[in-house]
Amino acid sequence: MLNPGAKASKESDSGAPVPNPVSGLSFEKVFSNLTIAVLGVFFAIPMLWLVLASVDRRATYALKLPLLTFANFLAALQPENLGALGNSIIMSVIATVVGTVVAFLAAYSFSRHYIPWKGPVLLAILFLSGVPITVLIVPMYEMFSYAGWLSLVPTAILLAVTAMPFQIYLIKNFIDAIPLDLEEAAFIEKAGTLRVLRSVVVPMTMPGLASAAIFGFVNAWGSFLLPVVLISDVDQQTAPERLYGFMSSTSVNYGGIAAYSIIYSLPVVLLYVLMSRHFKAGFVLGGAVR
Amino acid sequence: MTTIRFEKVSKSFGDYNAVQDLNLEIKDGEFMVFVGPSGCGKTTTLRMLAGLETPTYGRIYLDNDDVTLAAPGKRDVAMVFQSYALYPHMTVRKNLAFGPEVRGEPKAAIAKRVEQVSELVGLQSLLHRRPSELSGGQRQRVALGRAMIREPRIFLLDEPLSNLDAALRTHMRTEISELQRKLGVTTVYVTHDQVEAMTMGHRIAVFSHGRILQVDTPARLYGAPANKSVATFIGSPKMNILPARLAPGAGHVTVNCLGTVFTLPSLSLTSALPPEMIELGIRPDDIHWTKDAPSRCTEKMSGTVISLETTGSETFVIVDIQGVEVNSRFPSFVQIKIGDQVDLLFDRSDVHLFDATSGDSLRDVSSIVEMSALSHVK
Ligand SMILES: Nc1ncnc2c1ncn2[C@@H]1O[C@H](COP(=O)(O)OP(=O)(O)OP(=O)(O)O)[C@@H](O)[C@H]1O
Ligand SMILES: [Mg+2]
Repeated sequence: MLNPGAKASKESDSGAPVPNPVSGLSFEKVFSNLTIAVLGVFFAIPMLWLVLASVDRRATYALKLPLLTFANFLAALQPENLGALGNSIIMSVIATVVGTVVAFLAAYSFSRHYIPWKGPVLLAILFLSGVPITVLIVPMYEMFSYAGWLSLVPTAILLAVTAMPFQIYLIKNFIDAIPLDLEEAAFIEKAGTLRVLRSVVVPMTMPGLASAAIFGFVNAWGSFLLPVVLISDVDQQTAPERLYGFMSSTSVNYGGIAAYSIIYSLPVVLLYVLMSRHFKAGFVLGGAVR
Repeated sequence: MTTIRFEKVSKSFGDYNAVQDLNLEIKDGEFMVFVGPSGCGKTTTLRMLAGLETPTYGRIYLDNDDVTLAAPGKRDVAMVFQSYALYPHMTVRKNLAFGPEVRGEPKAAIAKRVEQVSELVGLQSLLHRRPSELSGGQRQRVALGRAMIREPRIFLLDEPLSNLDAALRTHMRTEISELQRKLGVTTVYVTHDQVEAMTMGHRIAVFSHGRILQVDTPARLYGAPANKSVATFIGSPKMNILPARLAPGAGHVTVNCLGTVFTLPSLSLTSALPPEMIELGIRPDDIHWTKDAPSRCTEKMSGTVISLETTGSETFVIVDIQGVEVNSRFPSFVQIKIGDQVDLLFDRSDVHLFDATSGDSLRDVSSIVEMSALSHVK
């Protein structure tokens, strides 16, 4: 980014009037704006393709003006495709709820309780959050098939577990910032632990919980490999798997893929919109302690 | 109906001893004030009493029940935190009602109590605000209201008025004292304010470096401090501490302080063999200008005025006597300026004698009170 503040102060040191930082061309500005423009194009072109192809009767991988149709969306809204979306939603919601609740309780313990070797344990958790679950896919499959768990719910819970290390870290940082006095004040009022968590800790951890929940949801929502390997029942297939239904060995239904992708991305957009009001962290701790 | 007893209580944080060997009994319905310099362990003691901190050693009893390890919720105490500890996501009304709601009190009763208490602390018009939208003093009143809404076994108030303006402070002082008297709840009150301590406390405990130096009624603490630290901590401006020599005689001791010589009966001393070099303490209030002195004041000192400080009703004058600064109280009408020679008078029964090394009082505490009582009569 530009740094108009630094520039302005340099010039005001020399006694010159502070110039309007927006006006005037400089190499700095041209360069940085150009970089942003190029990056923007990189993101915008696939999006544009997605929208155009989804309403194009003869969609290909090329970017072109569409021959308008809604057939792609009709194909994308076929019952089995909708069913897969439903499965994805069920799986992601379970993964989000399980992951966030467990991570919150763990984070509270890590933040407030005495735990032997807390530092090393937390480091191990941080390390685990960097290990891709893919490397464990073979033993996981063995385990799931041995236990008869090759279905939607156990997979959802496993996905919750994969998100947990990061969620624990995220939430713990928020709990660490809450003054201990607040919980103590509630304990003195004879509130039990659950009441203190519900009435004091959770409301003040809301921005962290919202971020953690979105992370958990997106993590499960976009997951492809785990559901493909661990869900054996065709009726329990999730949306990313169904995307492959638009590709056969002989042809690829580009329009269908585009339309389904748009539908597939809507829940995530919706989730961000719903959660956005929980992100205003600013007011949360104001005025608690002096 | 609660008595509090600390038995040999100590608290260490790592290898730092915040409270050491604390023994203290607080009577049922008593208003006990803790005073002492910053960091001397007042809050720590309060937190141990509330159950928020576990003593490293010793026991705490409420009514003969050992509560040393009891959880905070089991003790039925109401506490004002030094940091306020308001719930930032709740309005003032919610903050006040939180405790009663947790304890499942009926809604109508809670609403009524919230109204009463918010009026008591002057927050009626702010009930819908959040703590972040309040001033420091308003926040402190919410914290106070949150304790006053209860009728607990014990009130623990940690500097509950420190952030209020003078008028509001005086007002809240009366309100707290009145509420405490009405409810008869045993109360422990921490303050840095001398006036609060002297006017509100039934008894005052003076802390220093994690120990209690003296526990006594305000009058006795002021009149008969057990050692130099208490003597200089209680009373404003501070007590003068002057170098002096003691010479024993038959039935009396002779005190020589900055050239002034007088005798005291040896019976009024704690020890038959007092050290020779001692420190003499005398309050600025007890040193009078010659023309304004009561007739019982017979000992005289003289020196040069080096500074003046007027409070309106009186003037405190610092006088240089043989290189030692002595603070004394003059009536405000006296026309006096820096560099003037002045004569000062004091009553020998008003002096305190301290061991120069240990700081302990050398005067038999009971004799001081009797003597000064006598001298005031005559
Ligand atoms: N949790 C803690 N960990 C380590 N040291 C602590 C802790 N709490 C208090 N202390 C130390 O214990 C000593 C007493 O603290 P305390 O809060 O009781 O002082 P105080 O008398 O209330 O002071 P003030 O008048 O400034 O509030 C201080 O030196 C403080 O640094
Ligand atoms: Mg304190």
